[in-house]
Amino acid sequence: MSHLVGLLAILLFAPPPAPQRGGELRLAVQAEPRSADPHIAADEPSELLAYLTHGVLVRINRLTQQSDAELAQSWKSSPDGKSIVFSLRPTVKFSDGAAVTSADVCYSLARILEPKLDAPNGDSLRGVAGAVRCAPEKNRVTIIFEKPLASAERWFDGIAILPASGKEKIGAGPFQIREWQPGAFITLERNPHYWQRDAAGAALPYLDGVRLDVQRNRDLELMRFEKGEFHLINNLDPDSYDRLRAKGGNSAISLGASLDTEQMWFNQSPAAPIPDSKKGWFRTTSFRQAVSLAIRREDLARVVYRGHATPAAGPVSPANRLWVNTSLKAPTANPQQALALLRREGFTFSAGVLKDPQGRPIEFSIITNAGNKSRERMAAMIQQDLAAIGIQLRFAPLDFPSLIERITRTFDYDACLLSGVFSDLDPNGAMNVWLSSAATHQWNPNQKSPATPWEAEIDKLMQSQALAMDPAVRKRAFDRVQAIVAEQAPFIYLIYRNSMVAVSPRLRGVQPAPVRPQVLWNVPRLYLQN
Amino acid sequence: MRLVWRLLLTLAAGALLTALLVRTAPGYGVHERDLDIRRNGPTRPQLSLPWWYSREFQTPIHQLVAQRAMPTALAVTGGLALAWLISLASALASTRWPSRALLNTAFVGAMLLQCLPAGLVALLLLVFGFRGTPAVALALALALGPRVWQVSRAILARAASSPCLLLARAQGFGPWRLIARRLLPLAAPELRALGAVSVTLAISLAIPLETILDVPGLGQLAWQAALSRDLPLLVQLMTLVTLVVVVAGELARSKSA
Amino acid sequence: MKFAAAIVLLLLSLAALTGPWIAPDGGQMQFRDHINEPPSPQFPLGTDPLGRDRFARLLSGARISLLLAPAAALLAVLLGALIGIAAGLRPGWLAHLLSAACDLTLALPWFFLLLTLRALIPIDVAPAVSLLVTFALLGLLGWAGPARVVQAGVQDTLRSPRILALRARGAAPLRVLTRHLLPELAPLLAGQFLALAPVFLLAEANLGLLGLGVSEPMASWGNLLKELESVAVAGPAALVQSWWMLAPLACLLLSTGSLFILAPREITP
Repeated sequence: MSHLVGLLAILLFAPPPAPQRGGELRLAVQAEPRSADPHIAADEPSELLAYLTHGVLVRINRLTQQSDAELAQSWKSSPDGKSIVFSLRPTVKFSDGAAVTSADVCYSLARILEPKLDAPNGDSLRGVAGAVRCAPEKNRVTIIFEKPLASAERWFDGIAILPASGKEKIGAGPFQIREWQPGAFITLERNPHYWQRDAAGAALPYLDGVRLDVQRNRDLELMRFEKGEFHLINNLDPDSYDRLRAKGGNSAISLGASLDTEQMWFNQSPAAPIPDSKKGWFRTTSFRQAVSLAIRREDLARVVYRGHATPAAGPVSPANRLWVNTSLKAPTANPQQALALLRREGFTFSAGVLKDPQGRPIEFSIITNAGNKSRERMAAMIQQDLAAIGIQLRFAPLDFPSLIERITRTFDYDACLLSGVFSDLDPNGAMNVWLSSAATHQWNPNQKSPATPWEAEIDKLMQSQALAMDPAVRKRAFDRVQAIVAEQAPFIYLIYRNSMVAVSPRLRGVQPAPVRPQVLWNVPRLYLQN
Repeated sequence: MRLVWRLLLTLAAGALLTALLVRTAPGYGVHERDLDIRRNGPTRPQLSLPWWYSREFQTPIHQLVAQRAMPTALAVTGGLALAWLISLASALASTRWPSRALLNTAFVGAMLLQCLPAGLVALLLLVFGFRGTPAVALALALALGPRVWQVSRAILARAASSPCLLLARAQGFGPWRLIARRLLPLAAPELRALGAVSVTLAISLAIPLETILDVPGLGQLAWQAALSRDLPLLVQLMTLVTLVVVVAGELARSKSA
Repeated sequence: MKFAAAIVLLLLSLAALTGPWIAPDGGQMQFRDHINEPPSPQFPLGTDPLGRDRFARLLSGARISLLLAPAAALLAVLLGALIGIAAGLRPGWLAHLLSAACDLTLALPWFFLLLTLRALIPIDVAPAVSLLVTFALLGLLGWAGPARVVQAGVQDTLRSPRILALRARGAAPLRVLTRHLLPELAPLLAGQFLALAPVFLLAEANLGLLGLGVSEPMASWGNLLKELESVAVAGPAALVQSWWMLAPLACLLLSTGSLFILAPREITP
């Protein structure tokens, strides 16, 4: 016993072994990054590449979800939220050795806001803050917004600082691109001028380099991970997670719910070339609520995701700790209650067929992107659940461009099953989902004026929270938005996927977060142990 | 001269048809960023790119082709060489040393291979640790080999029983001399036609195989071009394929080659 | 050999046809408390990840493959015969056009059409309709091979002394075509049909493996084979362990093999 205590004492109080330097971290990306320009990065591989090779003023800590000082050592927002002052770290350098100056910050801000560049993060900032001005001083930058901007510093997590000289492939991130073999791989080497140091004062990153292999096939990625060719997998699917777990060892880690939601919605666009009868059903709140009540979310989580998903209550997943409305509960399937709701609206159910008040049988189709195994399985399960209340659901998987065309241009569809991907934790990042005038207000986009009273209320709440500076006021407004969406069910939220990663036992310093880029968010401090 | 005209016309027709196919396909001109919730309003029209630029990769197409031609060229030539080497050797061997039992075994083996879908062959190669270009080459050889063997064996057997061969044998030609001087020249036109067909098949198989085996070659590029409705890229890749197919066909047909 | 092959095909077709009585739900019913189970008396081939009866799905896949692949082959041969006979009877520019069209058919990216097919037909048609359209497209695109063979066959037949004599005696061309040419071509067409049917069976399997084939929740041999993918990557041992998942492969091998055996041995390129 005393031996054990002694051992424990050694384990607990012995200084941790010094991180080992050197080595190349290898992982797969599912597609080739579309661009090495961090400002126009919109796809996941490009965003990862930008994260690894570029510096930002403020980093959202993926674990605490709070803002960490990065190239800026401190910042201060004005009380009216119309300006923010960053003071820069004096010693930060780009990968070519040139100092990062306030001129570089203003250049980068102006570049990303340039409408011609068509940068997603610039677009988003322009939408919320209006015109932006930037005043450079020595080691200080003052940024002035036309409209008040709450938690302004958080926006700068998405704005890479580039040299004002316009030199390409130069960044202030932990790594720089060494070789790019199109379609095959990208290798990165450590940036010798990277500013961050560890507690002992040693230069970071510990790793010599990173290799991103373009590997589309997820099964192959897993196979190569098991052989030790890859050191980590950022998005593990449920089958792979179970397989790694079954083999023993603890390389597979589940981080709980991710930010992403799986949801279905009905087409409520007045421009939709579908029969008026269908439009009538889809605009009826009780109809949407009944469909929502008929779906067995716990079965979706248990069967399709093998338990690695949580039934969804509303638009914000519990992974977003600051903003989730915890009073919302995922509906429990109740076909009887669903039928009662429908009967109240004049629908009839007999001989296993549901009919609308005019006696038309309820049939509709649901589209989703072909090739996504989980989503196709969910559709098959929803089909059986809806058959129980007499609805005939047809399933049409489409390739992605055809799907996008239908949901954004022709509106020729009944219902759609897709995931909601949020890169921003703040509700301002999802402004274009909730505002009825927005193009990505999926169920009925580009409205001239709100089609329903509850959409008008959401519009008002979203705008008021954007102008408010008090976090408590903003939270109250956004909680109400979540409650309205859960009640009106324009999006029927199904599940939150769990975020699961695989990490080789050789990789140390890992603190995986359920938010992108999961394992790699603290990449300067990761190291490989032999 | 007429040949060149015919070639050009076929290529133009091919390019036109491909362009029509892509242009009228659902989902032409949309982009994934239409779903990006950070964007305000409809996507601005893309900067106009010249026709020799890929829309998806924003790169000159000749550059993309140059980067990715190598794996495909290696896999196709390797696969074809392997398929032809094995099948021609065994077909020749079976005309040189005819044995009913051997032939039947080979026939059953070839048939079994032909019954496996090429995609599954690729999958099995992955299971047994084959990767990249060699895996594509091997999958091509396994898919084409049996067909090439069956037909080339039939061609050689027919040629071997022709009067001209019987005469040569009666004249006392040795077995190898017989094959080299009489049998092969006699069967050459038909073998050439088979060669053209096998080139065409190899190229059309490269697209699914490279996609399944994850090899960054022209086949995978064509697949990506189709998925993203990249009109200039797909048209130019398909013109390239048509060129190879038509030239192979012409070479097979020309009696003087 | 051919007799055995015919028996195998007959048995498989019989199983496919009686499927609706053996498994009335077509393998679409989800038994959500029985997911990924090994074979049992209730589920002779186990259940899939959604708890559906694999045996029932195999039977319903057999119905699709064994009915629609030969139908597509028939379509391709008929179309090929029509074009081939026309080109064979009128050599010259028509023959040139045919050979160019053949080259184009072989070279063009028809997989693109299959990729977008589901979006081209109305979304709310029954799954069976989209299935029919897929196979019809396969059949329509398969004309080039038979057309070439038929063209060569027509030209050979036209040069045969019997036909030459008939034509010299002034027999009407239509009469020569229907009374003499078609009977001569019949075995050729039958051979082409037997050679193409397994090709279409395999094509469906390949499409399934690429994710372009029959879509959920319907079952086909192609998408049943795709489920092997996730098992196969775990290595050969895992494949042997879940042997019952190989049943679709066995069915595919048996049916294509039988068709190949029934086809004439010498197939001209």
